[in-house]
Amino acid sequence: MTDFATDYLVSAGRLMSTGTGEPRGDNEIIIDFAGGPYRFSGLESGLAQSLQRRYALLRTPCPSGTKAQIHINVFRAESHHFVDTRPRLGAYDIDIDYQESGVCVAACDFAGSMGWEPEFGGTLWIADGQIEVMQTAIENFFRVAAAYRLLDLGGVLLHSAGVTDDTRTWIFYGKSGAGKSTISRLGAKSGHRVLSDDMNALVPGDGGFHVHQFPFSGEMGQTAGARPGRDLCGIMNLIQAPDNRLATARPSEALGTLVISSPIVNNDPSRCERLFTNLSRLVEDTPVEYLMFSLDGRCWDLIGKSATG
Amino acid sequence: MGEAYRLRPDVRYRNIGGEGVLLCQEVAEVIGVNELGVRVIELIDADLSVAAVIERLGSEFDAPPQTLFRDVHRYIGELIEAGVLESTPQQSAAPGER
Repeated sequence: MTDFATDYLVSAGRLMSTGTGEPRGDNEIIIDFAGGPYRFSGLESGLAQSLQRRYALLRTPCPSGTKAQIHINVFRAESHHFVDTRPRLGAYDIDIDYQESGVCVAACDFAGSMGWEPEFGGTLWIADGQIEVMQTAIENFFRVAAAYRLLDLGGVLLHSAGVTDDTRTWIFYGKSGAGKSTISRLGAKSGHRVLSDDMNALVPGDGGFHVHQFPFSGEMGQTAGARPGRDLCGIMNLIQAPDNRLATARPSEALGTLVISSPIVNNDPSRCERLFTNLSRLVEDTPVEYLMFSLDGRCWDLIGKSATG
Repeated sequence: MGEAYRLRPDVRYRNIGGEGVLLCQEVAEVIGVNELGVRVIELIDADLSVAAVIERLGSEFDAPPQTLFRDVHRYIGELIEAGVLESTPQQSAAPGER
């Protein structure tokens, strides 16, 4: 861990090696998302209230005696553990240290570790700060936890837009700038509902894969939708073009592009085989098509009539 | 042992529908591989030397040995350049050198 997160942490070992710390408070929130429930405990009341508002639709009382699948302890970290990143604030990358038994993550003002054995759980240290900043730390950690948990379930967290007409649900993905938000806006204009224009969870279930709206969305606002998941009807790789067309993607093309769109776990050497397996099953279950689309919005007529749709 | 290569440690490989997908994790790049490419990589991954790969392909594909020799060496050169293959520790000859 000596080289881990040196941009963010003065000493990762000093902060994280004990695996424990001082809880930030005695509140908790339990989020009912695919692979969960996810329980965050050790929260001060202001942060807990903010998270409860944010995840109102996904909160679950978790009846007494019921155990959350994923338990994350939140601790206070003294600010001296962190490098002063204020001079370069803005978009930042999360640093991840991949190990066989788990991962360590760190960014501005937080660090955490997550392990799979004997059970899936994590520890998160957050520096004192504004509620919004601490909430972002929890969301970033939640994203990493969900990515691994979904992988364990045979699914994947996919950089994608999820759009539904309440009967059929499509997933759209592609290179950065391919048009996930654009296709979402065009879908909304044509009467469809956008689940997330940035990230969705795909999980195998009865009769195929299901789409779960991930509680963070991109340009169309932050949302948290209630479970259950929706049946996946089609997957389309986006390409902006002068006209609207569909073309079948070869399985190898589909697999390769989906791997690129599977954040966090696609960089983990020990989890890559599992990712290949899950995505191969997804491609087998729901063949991928290329969607060449223009901005005239007529692509949605095409999508509605597509072979997979 | 003759000229031989192996997949770099950060490279993951999967055969799907007769075609291959290579993920180079260090550079976050995915490379698609056709049917012949899949076979070359499978044989290299099975620790065969380049000469043995060419011999095996000669028995599996209807192609003149000179063509296979040229194509396999060129393809291995491309895979090295793409960061997919590296020399095995026993040798360090460039493809085509004998």
